[in-house]
This record gives sequence, structure tokens and C-alpha cells, in this order.
Amino acid sequence: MIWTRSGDFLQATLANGIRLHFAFAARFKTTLVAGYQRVPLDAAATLTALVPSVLRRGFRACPTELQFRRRLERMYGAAFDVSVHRFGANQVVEWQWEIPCERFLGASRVRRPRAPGGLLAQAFHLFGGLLTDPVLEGDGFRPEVVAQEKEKLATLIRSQADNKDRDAYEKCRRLMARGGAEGLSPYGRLEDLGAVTPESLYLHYRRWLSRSAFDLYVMGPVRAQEVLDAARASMTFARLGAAPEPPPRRARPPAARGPLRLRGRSPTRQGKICLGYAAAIDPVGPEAEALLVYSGVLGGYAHSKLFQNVREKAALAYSVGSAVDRSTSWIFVQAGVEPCNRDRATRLIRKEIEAMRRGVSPKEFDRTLAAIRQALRTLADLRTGRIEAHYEEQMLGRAFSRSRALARFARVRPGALERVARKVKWRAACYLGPDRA
Amino acid sequence: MRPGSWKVERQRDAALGEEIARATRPGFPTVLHCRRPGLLRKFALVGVDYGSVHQRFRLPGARGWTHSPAGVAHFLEHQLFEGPSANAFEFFSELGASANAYTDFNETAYHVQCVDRFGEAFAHLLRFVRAPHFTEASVAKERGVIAQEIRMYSDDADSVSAQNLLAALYAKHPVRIDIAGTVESIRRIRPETLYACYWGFYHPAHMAVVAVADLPWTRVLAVVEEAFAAPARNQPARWRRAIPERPVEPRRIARGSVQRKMPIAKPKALVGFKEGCLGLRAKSLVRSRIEMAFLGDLLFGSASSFYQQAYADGWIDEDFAFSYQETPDYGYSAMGGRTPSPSRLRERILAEIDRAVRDGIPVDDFERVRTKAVGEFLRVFHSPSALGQILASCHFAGASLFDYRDALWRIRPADLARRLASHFRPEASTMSILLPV
Repeated sequence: MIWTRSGDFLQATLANGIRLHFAFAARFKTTLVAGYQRVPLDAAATLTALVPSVLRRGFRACPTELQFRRRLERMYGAAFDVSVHRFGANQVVEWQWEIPCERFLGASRVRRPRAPGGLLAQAFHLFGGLLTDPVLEGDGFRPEVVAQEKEKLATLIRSQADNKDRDAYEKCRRLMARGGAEGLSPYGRLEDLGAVTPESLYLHYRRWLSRSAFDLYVMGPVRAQEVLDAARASMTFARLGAAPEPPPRRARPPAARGPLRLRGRSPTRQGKICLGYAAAIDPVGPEAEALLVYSGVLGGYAHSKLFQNVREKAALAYSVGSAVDRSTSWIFVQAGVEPCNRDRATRLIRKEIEAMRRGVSPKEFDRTLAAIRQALRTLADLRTGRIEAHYEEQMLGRAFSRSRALARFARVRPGALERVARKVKWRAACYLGPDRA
Repeated sequence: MRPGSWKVERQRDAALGEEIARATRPGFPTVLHCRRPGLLRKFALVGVDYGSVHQRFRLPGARGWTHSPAGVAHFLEHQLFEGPSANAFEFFSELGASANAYTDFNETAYHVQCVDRFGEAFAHLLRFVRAPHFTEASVAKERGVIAQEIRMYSDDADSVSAQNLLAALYAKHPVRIDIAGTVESIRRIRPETLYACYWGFYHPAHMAVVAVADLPWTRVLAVVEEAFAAPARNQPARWRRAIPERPVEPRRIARGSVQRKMPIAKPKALVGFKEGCLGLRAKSLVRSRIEMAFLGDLLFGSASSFYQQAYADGWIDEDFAFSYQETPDYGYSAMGGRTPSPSRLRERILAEIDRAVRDGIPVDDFERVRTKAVGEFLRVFHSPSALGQILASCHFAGASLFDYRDALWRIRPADLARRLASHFRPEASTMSILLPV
């Protein structure tokens, strides 16, 4: 097995299809290990969302989570977390480990654990065991653990609406998706939980572990060979089929009909606006960078149109901005306003978007490009940012490198923003507030 | 620059390979620098020893106390970006630099981060903080923006929960009041209010400048010297800092509990304990904070029996957390999160404290938590912005970052046992409860 170059990372594929990505990062004192398991976002989403929290609750090396957490603390506070995300029509389980590098611990006065191998090898060993050797009872997971985690997931799903900005965004996104998978929650659905049994969850886990597209990123002050050895020792468990290829990129043209609207009542102090726009632009095509610059000019920075006109000049909002969902080329504009200013703020936002069709000023354009350039250059120092950028690009079908990304942005011209603006169509609007609909 | 004018001290950790330099000079702010060779990102911060709790103060030469409306420190932070001819963000945008600011209970800080043209961004940061310019028009406009910020936080369950806990703990201390004030209190803020507070508190002797940048120390000092060698814009002839009032706060709590309804899916409870032994500064304060952080981890962290059992029993979920804050004037612990029964959660917390007092702190558990803290300390150096903010915070506490590291080794189990009994007194306990609408 040999390393090949994949953008800013070295890449090797393990015998079971897991893609291992490595980058040496001398300036850090810990090693970051990020594992991503991706499947299509579909009717099995609830089961997939449950699996990681059940696995965390116990495996052969650490039969209870208490033992697992205490083991991590003895490893100089090795950090562990797991979360579930959505990228387009994909559901992604993300595992994050951060392992201290022994040489920075100095002549430690604390007793060192006697487990074999360094801390990185130990972490990989735990990771492999957590993934492949869960505590079982009969033909399934432990019933009490499954029951507890079902309850926790139900709470998590219900609590998503506690954050009203996020609630408005999710509702707007569902309208944008027009019933498509991009509108589904990565946590699944409440109504699916009742049917989950310890046995059905275990069967799903086996399929998911075998079939999910698995990428493992490692960045830190460690040697590539050490990473390869640890991965081979702990992560080459049997997997049945080949990892599914990334879904095809598509730039769906917006529907010819007007925008879908939703107005909901929520007993809050502030009204939350979320407007959804679709642009038929390939996320890795020739206009992809122009779309990102467009969104930056519109509402990505303190110099942007929305910040300057909705917040600074009109004082209608503290929080207002726009962001691109790269997987779909959708743009979401959000603002928190006094309920009585809802219509005025919406008109002003739409006016600024309309103005983008007539072009942008050199100052707006130059400042946005300067900010994007700085952010890309800053990635050199941001491990999480570098990993996420690379993984995201990989899901879209190409290898990310900072230098190529910088070169693509350098080729964007102001005229490209006008062409993008003409492709941006209003598709959905959601408003949540205390006032009557 | 005359090198001999600055008194420079250096602290170094050989195992970590890090050095922090500290320079002082009469009439100038304290300057802290951590070089971090090889890092592309550069971060600068200017901090002021003035926060939302400094509402009552005596101006130099005045007889009585000045009482400023709640939210002035935060309002001042917003307004300082408005220059005589342009908003400070204009030049940062031109450079592609990312700038922001924050106000907390005890400090205000303005910061900038970029890769290129850092010297210019750094100089601009110090320049605009030294050029107060407040008008009726700009104050009126910003009032609308800040009102929306206040509304935004008043819809955030975690913010409301924490603020309500403080209102239940404190009868007189201004920490019980929201940092941004209220929509009503900010209506009373005028340009003259802002000027009085600016000249009262933004004195160089009570400021700190922090740079985390791969630059020679001499360059950092040169920028600071150029910014502070000349008087500030419209600086008073005899300029002395205002003396903030030290509020006299009763030892007892203000109220047994505070309850409110919000549009959330599940109740949230936050149990707090009021610290009775205050007045600590510098290394003693750092040590006190670490003692409580250790106790919080031991009793309520994810590797504690309490957490794992309460999680399994359904009384808490991953939202549960512990925190501790302490200054010379106030101190409190807070623990809680989502729960089906706030009163039951409180009972279990008190029962766990009783058990710990009875059984003591096992040495193995203590060493495990200390091992974790030693490893976690490595991460402090990874992010220039996080490191910069920590350096400023340590400075205003009268200590250094390496004092924190040293204190990790000096604490003993007997210290925690003593603290367990003195801090977690039932009569010092209160609760903030949020219930679903």
C-alpha cells in the first residue's frame, strides 16, 4: 500500500476500502483524527443517527461508557466526540478524536498508563474496538441502552426547534427541497423511533459499517508510517461491499413556480426571517467560486450589502447575513428583526438581492475577494478547517488543495457575479415570530 | 524606540517549546507576545479592564458616585468602531482582515486576525480604540441594533437560563444584570455617558495588548509605542482612571429559584452555588479556579459516576455541563441542562455532593483528572485567537498562563476536600428553571 497525493493530503486505501488521509502538522501538540462515514440520506436516517450513540455506550475493551471516558482521561485527556450531519442528500457520521503528543508532556510527574504503544496507537485501538466490537445481548444491542438512546434522540429531534434561527432555516430548507432528500433531518424522524428494536438496530449497524463510504483523516506532529501502522492494526476490519461512489453532482434548475412560503407563530421576542434562493450552478463547475463571492458580497462580511444596509444604515437587525450550501448551490439569507419590521426588512433584503443583478462595486468585489483569500490562506493553520474543506470537496468529486482554490478565486471577475445573479431565483421564505400570521 | 524603556520578562516552557514575553512601561498598556513560529495566522487584541459590572464608579476629583445605565460597556464597545470619518471595519475590510470585539462582565476586548498586512491591521486596531467619537445620530442608530441583539439573546434558552441563575444568586452585585443591559436601560445612554465611561476606564495603564504572531518582539513593541506615544484623541489634560465601586453583596443568595416559560421542547434546569470566600487575586485566584474545575470534573464530568448514572436514568443528556466563575468580587458554580424534572435533578446533585463529602476524594480519581488537565493544556496554543483571549484574561486576573500550568501541579486532594465542603453549602444554592410553554 502506498501513499498518493490527494490535494493537500496524502491518501492511502486500506484493504477494506477505508480511505486514509494524512497531513503532517508540526505546529500542533496533539493529533487530530476525524472519521467520516457517509450514506445517502433516506428512510433509514433514524437508525443511522442512533448507531453512534449506542456504540459509544460500550464495547469489549470498555464495556461501559464510564470506563471509556475514564480511559480517555488517563490518556492525558484524549478528546472524543461523535456527531451526525447532513451534506446535500447525504447523512454523515463524524467521529473526532484529539490525542496529545507525548513529547510535549515533558518529564511528566503524573503516572503514565502501562498500556502498550503510544497514545495514538491506543486511540486507534479504542476506535477500532468501538466501531467493531460493541457489547451485545442476544442478537442485538443491550435493550436498556437502545431504549435510553432512543429517548435521547427523540429529545434531540424535538429540541432542534428550540433555536429559532435554526428552526426557521430547517423549515425554509424543507420548502426548498420540495420533498427531496436534501430537506430531511440528519437525525431522522420521531415517528421512526417506535419501531426500532435492539435487533433491527444491530442489523442496520452491520450494514452501515460495511457499506458506508469511510474516510479517515489524521493531522498532527506524527509520521505517516506511524499513522499507517496504527490504522492497519485497528481499522482493517472486514467490510462487505465497495464504498458507494459519491452521488452525481447536479445543479437542479429552480421550479418555474413562485416561492413557497411558511409563516409560523412562535412566542419569541424577535422575528426570524429565512429566505431561500436557488442557483443552477454546479458546485465544482466554472461558476462555483463566483457564487461564493456573490454570497460574500451580499451578506458574508461586515462590508457586505446586507450588513451595511439592513444593520448599519437601517438598524433593523443585529444578526443578518447570507451563506451558500455548497452541496446544492442554495443560498440562505437570515435575519432577526423586530416583528413590526418583518415586511420592511424582507423588502430591503430583496432589494439588495435585486441590486446584485446590476453588478457590484469594485470596492465590494475587492474586499470580498480579499477576505476569501485570507480565509483560504488561514486554512494552513486550521486542521479542522482543512479536513472539512478536503472532505467536502471529495464529496463533490474533486481533491481540495489551497493553492488550486486560491487560483480559481483569482480568476473570478466582477462580470461573473452579474451572470450568477441572473441565475439566482427566489424559491422559499419562512418567517417565525410572535405576531399573528 | 528606546529598548531600555520597556521592562521585559519572559516565561518559557521547554517541554512545550513555547515562550511568552511580557513588557511594561509607565503610561503604556502591558504588552504580551507569544511568537508561535511558522504560524501564518496572526492575531492581535487590545483588552480593557472594564466590563458590564463596572456600573458605579467615582471619577477622579468627583465627590459622589456616577451610576451608568446597564449595558454601557457593551454599547461603548459597539460605538468605538464608529470613527469621525469612517467605520473602523472599512479599513479592516480593505485588508481582508477579520475584526471583532466582545464585552463580558469584567473586560472588553477588540481583536483582529489576518495573514497578510498584519502590521497595518494591528496599528489600525490600536488607533481606532484610541479615537472615541460619539454623536447623537450614531448612538441613536446603534440603539436599534443593540436592541435587536438583546432580543436575540432573550430568545436563547441557555442565555436566559444563565442570566436568571445570576439574578437568583445575587441581590446587589451588577453581575446579576445582563451584559448588554435591557432595551429600556440603553435608551438612557447618550454620547456624554459614553465619553464619561471611556475616559474613566480606557486608560493605558488598565489596558493590555496581546499579539500572537510570528513576528519579532521588537516589531510588536514598535506598533504599540507608535499608537500610545501620542495622547488619545481629545484626551483630558490630567487623565486618571475611574475607581469602580466594590459592591457589598450579602453572603446569602437572593432567591430560592427563578422560573420562566419559553418555547422549548424540554425543561432546562441550572443549579448554582454562591461562593462565600472571595477577595482572591493573581496566583491564588488561578488556583481557586482550578480547584473548582477539578471538583466539577470529578463530581459532574462525563467520566463521573453521577453523570453516567443520571444519563442512564434519563435525568440528564449530553446537554449537561458544569462551570465555575470567580473574580475577587463574586464567584459561583453552575451545573445543569435539559431534564424532565428540575427539582429531581437538584435533589440528585445535592445527594452527590453529600456523598462526596462523606466518602472523600479518592487519590486515583484526583490523579486521573489532573492527568486530563495536563493534556488539555497542550491545546491552548493551537488557536492564536483563543490563546490571545486567554492571555488577556489571565493578565486581568493578575496572573500568567504559566501560573495556571504550575497550579495544576500544586493542588492536592486535601484542597479539593476542603473546597467541597466550603463551596457546596445547601444554603448557598439556588436554581434557574425554564419550562416549555
